[in-house]
Amino acid sequence: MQFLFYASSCGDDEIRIKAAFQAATTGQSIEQFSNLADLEERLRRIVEPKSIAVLVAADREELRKMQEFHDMVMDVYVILVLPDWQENTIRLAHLLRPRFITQLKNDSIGLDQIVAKMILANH
Amino acid sequence: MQLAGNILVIHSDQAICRTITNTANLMGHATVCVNTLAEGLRKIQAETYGIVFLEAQSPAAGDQAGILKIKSGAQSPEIVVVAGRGDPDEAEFAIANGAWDYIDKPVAPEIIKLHVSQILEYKAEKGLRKTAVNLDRKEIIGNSSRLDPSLALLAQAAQSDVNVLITGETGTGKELFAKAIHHNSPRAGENFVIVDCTALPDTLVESILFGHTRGAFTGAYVNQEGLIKQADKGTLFLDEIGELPLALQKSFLRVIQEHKFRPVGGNQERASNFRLVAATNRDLDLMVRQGAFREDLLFRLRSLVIELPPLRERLDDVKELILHYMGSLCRRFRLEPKGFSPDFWSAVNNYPWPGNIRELIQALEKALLSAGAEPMIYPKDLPTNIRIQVARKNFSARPEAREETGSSAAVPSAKPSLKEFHRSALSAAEKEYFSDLMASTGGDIAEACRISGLSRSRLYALLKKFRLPSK
Repeated sequence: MQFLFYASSCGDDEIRIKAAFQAATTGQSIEQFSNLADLEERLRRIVEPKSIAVLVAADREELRKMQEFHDMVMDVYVILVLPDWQENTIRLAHLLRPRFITQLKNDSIGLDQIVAKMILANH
Repeated sequence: MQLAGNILVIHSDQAICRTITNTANLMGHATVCVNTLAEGLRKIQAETYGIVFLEAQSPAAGDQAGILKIKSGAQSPEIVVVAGRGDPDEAEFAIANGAWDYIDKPVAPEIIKLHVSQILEYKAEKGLRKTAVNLDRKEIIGNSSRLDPSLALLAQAAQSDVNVLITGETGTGKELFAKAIHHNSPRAGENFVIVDCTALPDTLVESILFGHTRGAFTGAYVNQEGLIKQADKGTLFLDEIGELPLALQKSFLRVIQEHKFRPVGGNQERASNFRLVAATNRDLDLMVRQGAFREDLLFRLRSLVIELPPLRERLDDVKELILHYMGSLCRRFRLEPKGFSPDFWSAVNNYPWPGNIRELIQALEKALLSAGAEPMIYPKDLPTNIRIQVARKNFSARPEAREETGSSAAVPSAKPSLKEFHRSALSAAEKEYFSDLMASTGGDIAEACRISGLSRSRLYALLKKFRLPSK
């Protein structure tokens, strides 16, 4: 199981999300990416089955670009952090078959517990 | 619309009507009950029914018997004849005239459930093979006859709104089937929402499913819609439903029945017109008996059950699966398409694939990496555990040949001792592990140390031992 984290920005919210992810993985290495090209390159190599990728979409356009990875994350547990909770954003999010979605401004709850449960369920 | 799920009960005994109606309703089927044959025949002319529970008549009824009148109509419901007087002549007359079965008194709910489930399964397999041809199968690969019943049921599921339960071992493609149901249904343009029941923390499960209002609990800074609302007009896919916390099952049952829910912290109920598909690799009947899963929820879930066969039961699909996934993996890894040696096909067809299609894809990933720039993939490129099993299977399958010739192309002429065999197999497995490790990390020593749990010096020593490049 490997852990991937993507966020193009590095504001307070992204730091908080990353911290929650780190807390849940209990110190295991997290591969971090800040641009989509690097993330794509990584996904073009083997990713261990049932790995977890937390992807923070800064805006809807970035979420749209993430759709290009759709085929490469079929066996990865994708957790999407969305910029807003509008209908079109959510619609776009579900095309990536996420195992959990949350919003950037609302997640000091949830993400760490979800990741911890996923890790537990797959070991 | 419920294709085969609508049920008509025609019986003069009110208690029997109640038993059948209550049981069928609990299973999620729309059920109509009338007390006379004349009323029943009118109902059948006006609406479509998949199953009719019909009060038995004596042979004296002749060609005026209800079973014959229903059979001669435009519809072809399966007819379960329920005892009237309860004698052998009734039973014989019913069966002789094409009844599905004859049920004697007392009429137990378990018997009703059994017949309804069996009839639905039978109708799905028998009647819907034609529609399966028109399916957009997306990533469901294979043409094995073992897959036909599942595809027929998929077609049926796509044309209705009935709840679907998909069962099968891990890696058989349950999520792909769920997605295909959605894509082939009138809801295809709406959301396909996955609920991963293994990842629902007890403390957050209601908020995740039903949503919450701002301030509902510490940390709820904004209103947030739950997954059930997000699936409105679309499909809600409950993956690994067997893991749904028992405490939540009751409230979820209500949501399935009424399609209404109340967000955490909210005052008002909200509606969601979702279609439910659930999947599990667990034995839910056993869980019901153990008290870990609610029986009423199970009956609601399995209005239609699609059972996916394990890959070992459709080995004739292995080649097509490999060609499909090898193509997509080569595109993903930006590799030239590769060929396969004849003994590669022999090896993959002689392996039972206990991890099913997921294991097959992972084996192909490793084979691709092992092959490197080679244009051809050989059995040696497969993961060691697969090669060992195949070798053992070949070994045990041909004892006569070995005895007669004393040697074989597949088996070394001088057999090693068990200790030597172990050492050799372990060494080969370790070499492959480190080869894969270095390939998957792109030669990143720090990352390879992290994954393997080895120190840097130990890793270098082992790479040297196996003559593997450290970059």
